[in-house]
Amino acid sequence: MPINVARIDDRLIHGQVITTWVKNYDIEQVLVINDKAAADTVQQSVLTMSAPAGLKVLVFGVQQFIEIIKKTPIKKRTMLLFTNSVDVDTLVAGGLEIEKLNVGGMRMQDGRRSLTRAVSVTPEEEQAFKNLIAKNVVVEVQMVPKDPVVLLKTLLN
Amino acid sequence: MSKQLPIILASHGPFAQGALECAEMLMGKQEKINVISVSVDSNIDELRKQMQLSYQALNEGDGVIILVDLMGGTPCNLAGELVIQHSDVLLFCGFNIPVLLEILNNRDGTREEVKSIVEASFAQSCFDVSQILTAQVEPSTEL
Repeated sequence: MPINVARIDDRLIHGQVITTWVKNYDIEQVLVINDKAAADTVQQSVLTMSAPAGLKVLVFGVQQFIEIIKKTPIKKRTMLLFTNSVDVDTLVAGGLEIEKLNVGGMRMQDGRRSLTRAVSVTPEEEQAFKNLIAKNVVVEVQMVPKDPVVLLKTLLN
Repeated sequence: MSKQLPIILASHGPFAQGALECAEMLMGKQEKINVISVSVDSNIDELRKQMQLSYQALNEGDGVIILVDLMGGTPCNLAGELVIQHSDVLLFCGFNIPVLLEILNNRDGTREEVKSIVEASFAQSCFDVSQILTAQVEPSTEL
């Protein structure tokens, strides 16, 4: 399954993603996996239509995507985008195979504590990261490809 | 002074604020302009609220002009949501100082007039996002 980048970024598709990740990895399609975006037709239209020419964007809910990967093989060079670690943990438990998870942004909000400037977690999200690390997923904090990689486990207690 | 169309300038980092300061240095103090600067740690829901509130606060019935830095970036995406929700938003991406000065000189006209002026002068670099957001997407079942 050619998943070339799996990234957590609560802005989903935006300037950094388009100008660096998609280009550096020759991504052909971005699959956004997020229940809120999947239910919001306005956000979905903007996400799918504002992508650069030649880049396909599809938006799925978490359970919906678990059902889809059971039946549909991924053939294109693909970037998966999530907004938080709980969704990724659910997806991996549901059969999604990823070796590496890039964490770009989970911005500060109520109930989260800060790990880096752009990454913060609730206790549930922290546990979800620990679950993923325990399943041998390499979890890396890195905003853009030129930034140094910081292993997320070194930021957790 | 005649009625002016309000403007929201939005960018990654301080570009929009800098562009406004640059224009004011050349043309003097400008009214009815809001700036939205997205930084690395800005919360997306806060930014969305800021964009929505700016639109509501500035709109006097003739609509709002929004200028953003980059197609597909966060400022453009949030303004794109307004384009889909409201029919009186003129959204251009890829704005630069000449575009901004041109618009500041012509915003006592209608949105349509501003649109034609920008498209006549800067068609290659600065374009109307609503033409992209209303395009049809082909459905496909393959991944």
